Amino acid sequence: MAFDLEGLYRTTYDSVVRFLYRKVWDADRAEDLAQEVFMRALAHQPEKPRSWVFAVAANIARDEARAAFRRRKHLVLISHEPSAAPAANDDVEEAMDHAEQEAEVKRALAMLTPRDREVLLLWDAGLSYPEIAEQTQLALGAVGTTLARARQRVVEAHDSMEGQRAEHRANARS
Amino acid sequence: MPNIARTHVPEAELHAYCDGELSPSQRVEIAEHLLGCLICRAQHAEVAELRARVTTLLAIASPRQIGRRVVPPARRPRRASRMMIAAAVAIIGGGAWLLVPPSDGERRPTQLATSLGLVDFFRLGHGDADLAALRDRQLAMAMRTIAAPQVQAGRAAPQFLRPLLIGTGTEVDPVVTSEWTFATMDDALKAANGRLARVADIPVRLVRIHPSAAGGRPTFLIRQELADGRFVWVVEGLEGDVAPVEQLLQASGIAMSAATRTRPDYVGTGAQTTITVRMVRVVGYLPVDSLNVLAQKLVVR
Ligand SMILES: [Zn+2]
Repeated sequence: MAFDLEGLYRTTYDSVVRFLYRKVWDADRAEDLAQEVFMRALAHQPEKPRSWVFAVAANIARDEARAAFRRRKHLVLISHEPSAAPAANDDVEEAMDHAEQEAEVKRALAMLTPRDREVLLLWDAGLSYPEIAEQTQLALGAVGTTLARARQRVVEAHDSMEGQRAEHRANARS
Repeated sequence: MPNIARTHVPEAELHAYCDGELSPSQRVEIAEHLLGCLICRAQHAEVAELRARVTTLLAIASPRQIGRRVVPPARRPRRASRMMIAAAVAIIGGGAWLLVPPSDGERRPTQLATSLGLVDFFRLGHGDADLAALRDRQLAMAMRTIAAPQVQAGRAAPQFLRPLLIGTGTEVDPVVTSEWTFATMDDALKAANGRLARVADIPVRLVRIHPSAAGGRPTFLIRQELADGRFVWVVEGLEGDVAPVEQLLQASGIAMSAATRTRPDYVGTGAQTTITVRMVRVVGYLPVDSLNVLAQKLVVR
């Protein structure tokens, strides 16, 4: 079967960007890295393209994290602001709300073990259990268990943060 | 192996069930257990809710706009290699961009892009102009997209198209009465004289049959699994027989595609001739537009 880059691109690009975004937390960087993934796919013409792009994306994100760690040693870290500024004033509050919500999801994800998190993100990217098993070296039968635990934990972690936030608000009011 | 020894469904298995990752026989086994077991039904509802919540949470952690940086090329590269027939890679200003093939400049708005909130790059022109292929791609894309909430492109602030939380791939069949029996696809095809409607290229996961009151062609309920793990049902039967089923479905809040009717069949002889019309609809917890697109893919024979 001929390698169909266009089809692959159309069907997986969004998922790859989202997958990368949840690792690097920078929309522009995520798209840059996704472009890199598809450039490599074009050069490689992999047999199982869908699994392949996510495996490469995971590797690239890992390299990126290491490089970012090295950069941090030399640079003064400037506190991160949400990159895409909203255009209309009306949307500012909504955007801030969203940034806050996103920070909570990010922290909830950070509370998972790397393996649980990877399985969850791969599932959300649309990979099947066998594809996830292949990529994470898990036994096929362990994917469901891992996913069940990851789902439970991410929601619990998120809910506990929401609870704390509500408590803070209540304390601030009294 | 008889399933009398079967205890309650383990939680991980319910996750796999919701994710559409079990074999058809496992699915049937669990579906049957769920029908008879209150405990597992409650657990199943919890898993389904958990699953939907995770999807909603993860959707928050998404870039606002994906693909806004994909730009159509100004002109065709001077020498197109074989690879470039599929796609072109260009280096613009030091950055790498993946480009869809240049088109005649015409941009085709797509029904699905509007109904399902697909991202902008989808509206770029298509060089090959093969409409059928284009529609297939849209359909494949749409099936992946409808489950996941999308950040709508072209807006400053993110807007989440809420996933349909009712039954994301998890619902028990909408029509559950004792007259409906499970069947294999082969048996169903036999009962339908080889003519049974279903959406092309989507795996069939469950088949149910309801005998016709008048002793004619039975009514069929065929559950097909979309790429994102959700389901649609193809309901097929004689016009009169399908009506009560439709009422039931409507009452359960499920959406239905427009009906596809086949050419009338003449049954019987002379004065005893009855005209029967097969009617087919695609139903599911999806926007009607999506169901209508799927209905276009119905193979009626
Ligand atoms: Zn049970």
